[in-house]
Amino acid sequence: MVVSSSDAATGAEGSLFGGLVSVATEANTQSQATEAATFSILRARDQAGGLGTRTIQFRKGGANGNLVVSRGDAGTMEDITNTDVLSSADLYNLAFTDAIAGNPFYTYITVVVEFASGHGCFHGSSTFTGIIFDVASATRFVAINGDFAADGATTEANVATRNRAYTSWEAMQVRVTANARNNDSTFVNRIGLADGTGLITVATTQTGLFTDTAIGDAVADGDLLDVSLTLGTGVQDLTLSLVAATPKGSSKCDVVAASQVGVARTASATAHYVQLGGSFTSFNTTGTNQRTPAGFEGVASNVRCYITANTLTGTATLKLIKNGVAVITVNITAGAANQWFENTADSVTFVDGDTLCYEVDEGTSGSATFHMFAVTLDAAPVEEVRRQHPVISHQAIARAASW
Amino acid sequence: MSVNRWYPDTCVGVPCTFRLVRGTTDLEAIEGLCVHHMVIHQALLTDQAVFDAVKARNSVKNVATAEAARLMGLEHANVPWRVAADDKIVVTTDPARVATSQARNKIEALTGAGTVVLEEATIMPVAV
Repeated sequence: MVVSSSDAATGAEGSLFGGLVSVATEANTQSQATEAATFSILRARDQAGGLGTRTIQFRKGGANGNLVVSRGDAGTMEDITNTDVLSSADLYNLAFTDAIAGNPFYTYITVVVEFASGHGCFHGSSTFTGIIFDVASATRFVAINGDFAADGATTEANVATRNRAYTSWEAMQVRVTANARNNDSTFVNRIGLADGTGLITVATTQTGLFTDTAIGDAVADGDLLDVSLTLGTGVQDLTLSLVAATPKGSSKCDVVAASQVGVARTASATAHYVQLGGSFTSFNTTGTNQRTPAGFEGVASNVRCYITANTLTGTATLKLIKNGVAVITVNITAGAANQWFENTADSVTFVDGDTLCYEVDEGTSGSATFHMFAVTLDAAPVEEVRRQHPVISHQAIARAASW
Repeated sequence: MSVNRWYPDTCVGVPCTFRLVRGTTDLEAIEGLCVHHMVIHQALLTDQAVFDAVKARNSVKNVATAEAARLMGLEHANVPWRVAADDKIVVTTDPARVATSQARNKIEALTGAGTVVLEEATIMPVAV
């Protein structure tokens, strides 16, 4: 989205989920901490610079929190000192301020979240300008990571994340910013391409944040996770800005970079890079700006990606890059479409300050369309009891919506 | 049965919170968890009364912005609105896209007179 100079001067609001946009209405960007949690280690990277001092402020319940980062040139900004403690049901988001009118170019924004009870993470997909759903009498699907596009996905597998970290799905939330529907709209959590017990009903012409915080569905290793939206009769618009989930487990979290519509990559000897989580809209050929600090120490495993169209004539490779060096590799078979490719055998340790990102290369000729990159981060092997997990967003606020 | 919480976007500051219990199809119970802190709700005695008032006010905003969007040829979500200091719903219309008097007549035909305040401003095109 284009952020006008006035928006930049007066401040724009965004979130830790999704990407590409910020908006002037803070309410449209607020997510709810469905669990009491502590947020810490806010980091972001602006690859553009040249706009004077830019500030990203963590917001809690519509007021400034403690976490804040700022920088006057391109590069990484971080706050590793402050924390924000949120009670269950507190709202949170980010606020952006630029000293000079223009659009900084954030390739990632991360924060570490630690639940007060148990282990888990907040996952969400968002497009804060609002995305319209208006297909009559239809069920569509929305991811719990990255972004979503108009009317959601008709093919559920394209947006469903393969779970490797969690054992339960505790809560779900959606934010509706405009609603001209003349009947109810329903959201259901989906586990293994089947309905869970979570249900949110958005009544005719109601807007705001809607939550179901008492789901408690079990999820198994390998289950596909997403959310369905069912509209009734009529083609009136329902505008959605956020779909989020709270899964919990032992000591692991999944970090997912996702695109509902997918991003095609033409086979090339040139390596292409994607940041560790959030929304991705294109590949980057440099990779420096995509190297994402995890925020804690642990073990990374289950590097994986989901591909739809695949006309590659040779094997391509997906690599997890740690500090600029490939550490786990996944082979992507030529011509094999509509499936996950995953390395379930290899793992690598990392410490806070290490950077991680994905690299894709080779393929001989043809192309493949990527919808999700994911990795599972486990804190337990390194430190006995940790509840810290990263929430990572790509939040590019730029005149050119690619990087 | 499902239990949802609704935080209406037309309640400013700490949003009102309603716990909504639904059966198979019907809304069976309403509990206001945080509803009486707003001035406009303090005179209402029951959670049901607050819910009805908030729901009506929320719908008025959405009906008004939907009609404004239709009149101006914009997507619904791109019509600016806000809650004024006096708690009135203010919808922004662009006189270059629709005459304010026409917008007022059309919106008031749907929501009733005086329920929504229109203010004029240039609405910049939104590029995605």
